[in-house]
Amino acid sequence: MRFAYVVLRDFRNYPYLELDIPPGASLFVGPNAQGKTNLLEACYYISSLSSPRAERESDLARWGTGCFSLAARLEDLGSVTTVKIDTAVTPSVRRKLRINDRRVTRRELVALFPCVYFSPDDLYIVKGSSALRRKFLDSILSRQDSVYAKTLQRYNDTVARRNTALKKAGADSSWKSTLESLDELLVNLGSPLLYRRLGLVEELSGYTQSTYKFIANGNCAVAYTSTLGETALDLDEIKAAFRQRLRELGREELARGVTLAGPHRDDLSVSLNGKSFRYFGSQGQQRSVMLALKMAEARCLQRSFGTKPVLLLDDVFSELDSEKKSKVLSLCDFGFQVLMTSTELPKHTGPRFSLFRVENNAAMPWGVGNQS
Amino acid sequence: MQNYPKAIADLIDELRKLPGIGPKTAQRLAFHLVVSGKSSIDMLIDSLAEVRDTIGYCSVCGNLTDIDPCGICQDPKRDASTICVVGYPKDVLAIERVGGYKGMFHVLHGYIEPLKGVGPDDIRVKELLARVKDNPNKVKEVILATNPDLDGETTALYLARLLKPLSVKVTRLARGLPFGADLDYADEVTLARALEGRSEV
Repeated sequence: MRFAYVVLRDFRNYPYLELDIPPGASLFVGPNAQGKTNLLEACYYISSLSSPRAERESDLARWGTGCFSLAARLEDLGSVTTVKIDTAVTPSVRRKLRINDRRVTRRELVALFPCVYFSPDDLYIVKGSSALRRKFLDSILSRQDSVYAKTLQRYNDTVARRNTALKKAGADSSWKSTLESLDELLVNLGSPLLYRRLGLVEELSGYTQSTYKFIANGNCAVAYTSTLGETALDLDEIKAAFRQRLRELGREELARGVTLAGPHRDDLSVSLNGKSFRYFGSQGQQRSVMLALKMAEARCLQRSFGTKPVLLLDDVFSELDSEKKSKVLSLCDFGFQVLMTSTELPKHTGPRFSLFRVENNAAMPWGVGNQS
Repeated sequence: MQNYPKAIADLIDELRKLPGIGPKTAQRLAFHLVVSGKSSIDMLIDSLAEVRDTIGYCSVCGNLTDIDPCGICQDPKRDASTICVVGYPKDVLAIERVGGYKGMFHVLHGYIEPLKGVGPDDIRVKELLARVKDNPNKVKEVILATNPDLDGETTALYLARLLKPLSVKVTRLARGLPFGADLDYADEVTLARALEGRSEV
């Protein structure tokens, strides 16, 4: 899927913007605070009805308007789809969604096509805490499968209840029997989560490896490290391992009052020649592996949605050296549409891309970036 | 600034303790009562007093009643071999409205809610176990009709664990598609549950 044309009305800083977007790669260049990121954010919102950075919908409406509209014409292998989104943010969020002028539900719209958003903060997926890596996996799985998202929420609620019960059971043994039923809920909700994550990581690791090899010419490995130990990709086996682990941890969990094992404490290990990128990778290597992970995300979403995602690279590009820049750009040759932002024109040679200048709440075509 | 006379301020404070009543509504109700006249206030006082004096919990099932045991527990036509366990008295009404259920009830008066510090000892679990144990040949099935949320689920799992060793059939309300629903429009979680709990026709 690709954007052919977008319209933004009262979105962020844009009173009104119409834009034809060519296939392949486009670079939006302009000084800071002119609305480059907002443009990518609008594209992401059209695909997922959520923003990669705003917490609340009300932040998205242009100041003082209380509502915004987005529309897009999408093309995929010759077929054209139009999407229209009208959102009122005050007093509460209400949306009118249309695909090809037919009213649709939120669920139908987000199932249409995926976008992958590359932000400079994604670097923390590699070097930050394990919570960010779990979030990375969960966000892919939640977009692929809404049952996953709801199970995850119920699982997290169960962990909170179980932690309270563990704290109480330390002092008052009558809580121990309640713990047993919470254990069962924990295992029943947590095991499918682990099962789906293991399946995803298996898929991700191959893609990440090959992309990293292409960008940085090194061997990276991605593996899921579970607090339940090694388990086969089998739901019953995972359940058994989960129960077993809870039994082993019994005393320690009571003493500490926290649930110590389960998908909420697992991690994704990303390593180069057996050494963790988190501690040993250089900035450049971390950046490359982050790009490889996000490209792998794109591949996984492509498989489950059955259409190519649009890649939105927010200011990620500027930090790469010229060789990596051209390699990342050549990934568009695999048929992805790529929208990028930068504060300055790249001086290096490489594949072609379309240029836009973003200034004063407007974006104008600016010719074709040079190259080769 | 002029404050309310103390009697009205006290009335507003009392009304505010009721569920769903905020400061504005409490104030509106209080003024309404004040101007509504002596006879309607007396009627309200009388009905409050009557509720206070006559309504209590059934010693068997825990439902609200004005006789003990309650009408349902006393009814010889009802099937004493089945007990339907619910969270609150209002759930008894919900199931009675269906009309098809002819067994007994047991009201827990709450669910196990670890986050609020409510444990099994704080709800009427012991009474339920006693009812099943004391009538070993009489009670054949216990239906767990707790809410399909996490706390209801925790409570149901807890009860199932205790009841199963007493050689009584323990069942749980089915979860799934509402009647008149369109498969295409059902959310995936409900559909997954419905598929899981499918039954033979």
